[in-house]
Order: sequence, then structure tokens, then C-alpha cells
Amino acid sequence: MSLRDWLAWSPPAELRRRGILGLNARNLRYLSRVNPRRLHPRADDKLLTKAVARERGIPVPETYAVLERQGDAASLDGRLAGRPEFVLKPARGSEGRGVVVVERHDGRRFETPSGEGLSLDDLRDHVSATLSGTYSLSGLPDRVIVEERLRRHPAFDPLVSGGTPDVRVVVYRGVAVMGMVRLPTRASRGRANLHQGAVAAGIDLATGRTLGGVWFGRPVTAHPDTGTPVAGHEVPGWERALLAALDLAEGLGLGYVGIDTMPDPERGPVVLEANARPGLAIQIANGCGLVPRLERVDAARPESLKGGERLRLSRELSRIG
Amino acid sequence: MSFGPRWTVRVGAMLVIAGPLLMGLRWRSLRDAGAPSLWHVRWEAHVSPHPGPRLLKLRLPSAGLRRLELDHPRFPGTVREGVLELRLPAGKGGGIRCAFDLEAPPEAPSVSCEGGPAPVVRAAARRGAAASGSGGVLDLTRLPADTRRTVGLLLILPIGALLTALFRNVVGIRTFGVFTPSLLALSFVYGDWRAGLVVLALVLLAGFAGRGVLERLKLMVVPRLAVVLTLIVMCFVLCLSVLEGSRLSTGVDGILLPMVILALMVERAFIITEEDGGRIMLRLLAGTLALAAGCVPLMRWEGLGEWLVAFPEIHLVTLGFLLWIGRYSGYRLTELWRFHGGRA
Repeated sequence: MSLRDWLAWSPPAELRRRGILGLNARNLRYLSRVNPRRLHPRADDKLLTKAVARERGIPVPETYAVLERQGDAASLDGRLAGRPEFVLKPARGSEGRGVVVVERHDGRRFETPSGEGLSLDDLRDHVSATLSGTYSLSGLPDRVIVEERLRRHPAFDPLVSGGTPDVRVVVYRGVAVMGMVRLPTRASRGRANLHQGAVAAGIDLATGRTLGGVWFGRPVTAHPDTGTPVAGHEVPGWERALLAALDLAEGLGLGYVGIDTMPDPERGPVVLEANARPGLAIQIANGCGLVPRLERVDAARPESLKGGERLRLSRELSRIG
Repeated sequence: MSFGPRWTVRVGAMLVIAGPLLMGLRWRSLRDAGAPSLWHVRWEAHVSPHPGPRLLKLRLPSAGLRRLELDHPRFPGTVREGVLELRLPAGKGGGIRCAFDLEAPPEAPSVSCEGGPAPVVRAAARRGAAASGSGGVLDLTRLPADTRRTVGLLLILPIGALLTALFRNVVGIRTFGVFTPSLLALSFVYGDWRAGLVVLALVLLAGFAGRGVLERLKLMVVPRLAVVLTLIVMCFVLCLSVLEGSRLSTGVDGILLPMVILALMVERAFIITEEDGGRIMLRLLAGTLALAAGCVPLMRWEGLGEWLVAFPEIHLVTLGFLLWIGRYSGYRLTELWRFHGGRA
């Protein structure tokens, strides 16, 4: 990509015409209005999110253990016994920081999917660092969730070389307004986070097919590792992912929320986490702005709509923008 | 309860108008009262070491002298009949610094040294804002010169914060911590900024390297931060000592980096490098330094400090601008690049 491409910009009027939502407008016009601060912890704390999802019968990764005290790090090996693979996650981490995936282990050596080997002491140290708040949103003491490792859905196999893609749906006042699949790359070290180098592909809300993608903030047509075109793939279990997102958003009580799920061949979409301040790169991945869709939802007075009508409205939105 | 956006913008406008209005009124009343504008004067006389004992004499202006402050760091001095005297023992060098306010323009300092070579004299004078004869609490110009300097610096801090808000919410560049850049800039106000920059780079490098070693020791967060802080302080003190000895730079004593802030910055930089890669860390560092660089000229601008001391009500304007920025829901400048193109 040439320097000229990197320097190319749009005047504000052009962005407005495309209906692009900026960070300031997101915070002032939407988040502050529909996300009461007292409900934020439900999205920020993955254990609370999981509890809400479980209440509503939405599948979540099975929790093996929750580590809360420094003493728990010492008894780590006991808690991992009989778990051939697992994930360590800070309960209040953000942007995938502090997550360790273990693919196989013999109780002494723990292997991550990228082939890195960790000792039991390394894991204990990581748990201890996480507990003391190294990765938490506010730097306050945190908890560590030991949970089931989800496998990649086979439908994604041709698309990515490693890592597990996830599906993000942004829900506004109970209506899904935009979606994307996040595809890990070698650059993102198998993680599905955009700023770390994952590719995002927009999703047609009506059909569940992927649109073109974005990588490091710029449009791409093919996955950088596999060369497979990003567009035109069916997202497995799309309809159920959409329903799960609407359901969980209602349970959380947040009016503007990003719900991340991972498709599972047996259980359907499994909820990974909710984000009360979902990013705006999803607009680049979808090639259209959020504003017209948000305004359409506002005009429909969605609180008075029933479940089926909300789903229908979500599908209709794919024609806007 | 919340006020609508229009309301906030109106209050902002009122503040922006009220500030200069109030200032103008006070200015006029000061002028009408015939208050003279003061000259802020600083004299420094210094003699180098010499085999014999000497007596350094500095004659102070006799008319209109106000608020005299003396500083003779090493040897006792006295004021006798308008003459400042400092006795220097054999083999030693030293000097006197004095700061005072004058109602008339100052003359050149008259200084002599009995028993040794002529002293080096540095004189600086600046015309300040008008002083009101009777001081109310709002009249900060009645404070002693050194306190006034501190107050001036404090009053510049909100302007740094305004610049920070502008940089983050309107331009859209991210930095390490919200007020790290303005606090960094504040530490460059006194002393030589080039030396300060070198010291900052060394301190950050030492902190970062130290943090890398600490990663292997696996400490908990607070002790780890404390170790980084200790390393940073020690590196800083060492730098000062080296610079002082080598005489490469003068005024090193003025560089006072915000150590705690730097320790936190090193910690965040390290975690971000580990988790998100060096590219993102460098981008944040560049943003932080760019904003700090933008704040430095503002904070070194002594006239601005003097004005703010004379008319603290200028900060009503600052508050008004902050309300406006706080309600700015348009695109950030960087978003014009970020959202260009897309998959349209």
C-alpha cells in the first residue's frame, strides 16, 4: 500500500453522508443515554456476563474454576487435573489482554496453540500477576477464570490458518444493528482482536454471509495468511447467534452493547463476552456507517416491539447503508 | 438529572464572555486607581574560587524597592544600609541571588568584590502587570515573588489540561495516561529543556530495561511498581549528578520529573508492548511526547504565567472552552483518515 493511500482522508461532510459514527458521537449521543453506568460491570466482568447468560439459557464456555486469592495460584495444578485443555482469562480484562490458551499438557509442561511451552510455575506466575491486577480494566485486583477451550468451527477452516474466529453483533435498544466476524491472523498471534492484527469481515444481517474485510484499519479482500477471499462465506449458526445476542443484550440491560459469540457445532453460539463500549471499526468492515441504522431503530420505538419483530427489523437494517 | 447539550454550550459561551469582561473591568479599575506597574528584577552575582577571603557587595536600588528576597545558598550574607554583603572564605567560590520588585525601571546592578577578581553578574528585569495598591484575596500579585512563580505555574496547569482535552477529543490522538503529557511538560519549565529531554530518555530507558528484568522475578504489582520507581529515581539522581559535575549544562536543578507518573507510564508501556506489540506502544509514546512538546512552550512562557497571576479570572474562558469540548460530538481529526474509504 502506497503512502498516498495511507494519507488519503475524507472531509467530515463525506463521513456524515456515509453515516459514519465517530467516537465522540458514540459516547455523547448513545452510550451516555442508553448504558447506565451502574450496569457496566455486567459487561466488564466476564463472570457476571456468564451468570446473566446462564440465567437465560444461553450457552457459555464451561467454567472449570475461579481463582480469587493468591493462595489459589499455588493449588493450580489440582484444579487443572483432568482438564486436557483450558483457557485462563482475567475476569475484568480488556481487548484479550492476559488470556492464555493451553492446548495440551502433562501437568508440568503446558503448550499453547502457537507452540509455546510454559511450565507450571509460569502459569502460577501468570495467575498471580493477573490476580494483582496487571491486566484488569482499572488496575484493581482481579479474578482469573479457568474455562473450557472452544474449538474453531469447521466452517472457518478454509478461511484462517490458526486461532479461533468469533462473531460480534452490536445490539442497539434490543435490535441488532451491525455484525462482523473477526478472523485471527499470524500477525495477531491467533487472537481475534482487530488492533492486534485480526481481519474483520462485515456480515449481511439478513443472510448471514460475510462481506469484504478490513485489516489494520484498511480494506482487504483476501485473508492475509490463507489468501482465501474474505467475502461470501456463510457464518455458521448466524440466525441463532443473532437471537442469542438479542437475548443477552436484554438480560444485561445495556442499550448499546457488542456481544461476542463463537459458533459451536453442537451447542450453537457460545457467548464469550459482552462489551459496553464496542469499537467503531465494525463500520469499516461493513463498508457503511452506523448512524442511519441507529436512527432507524430509534424511529421504530423498539421497546414496544416483540422478539420476532425485532429480529425482522434487524434483518431489514441490512438494506440501510 | 442532566442538562441538555444546548444548555451546556450556552453556559460555556457565558463563561467565555465573562472571563475577559471581568478582566477588563478589573484592568480599568486598576488603571483608574493609578496603580503603577511593577518591574520584577532578578540579580545574580557570582565569584569563582580564589586563594584569599573576599567581601562581595551588591548595592540595591534605594527608591521604590518592594518585596526583597535573598538567596545566598552557601555563605551567610547581610543587608546593611541598602548594600548586600557576602563574606567568602579563602579558597571558596559563591554568590548571591536576589529578587525584588521595583516601581521604576531598574538601573544596572552595582557590584564589587574586595580582595578578588570582579564578580560575574547576571541581571534580568521584566515588566509585570499593574499592581493594585490594596490587595484583596483575588489580587495574587501581592504574594512574594517565589510564591507568585509557583502560583503562576499552577495556574498554567489548567491550560495544559485544556490542550490535553483538545488533543484527545478533537484531534483524536491517544497518549499514556490523561495528564502525563502536561505533567511532563511542567517538569521542563525550569532548567535546560535539552538536558531535561536527555535525562527523560535515560530514565525511561532505565525504567523499561529494569521492568524487563523484573518480569523474570515475577513480583506482584505494587512492589514491582515500587522497584521501577526506585530505579527511576536513582537513575534520575545519577543523571543530575553527572550533568552537574560535567558542567555540560546549567540549571539542571530545575528539572524535576514526575517520578510516580513515569513509573506508571513504564508499567503501561511494558504491558502494551508485551500484549499488543511495540508498534502500538511507540504510537502511544509518540502521542504523549507530541502533546508534551506542545505544552512546553506554553508553560515556559513567563508572560502567560504573570498574566494568569494578575488576572486568574481568565480561567473562566478555559472552563467555557472545556464545556464546549466536552460536548463536541463531531468527528475527531484522526477519524477523517481512519474512516476514509472503507469497503464502499
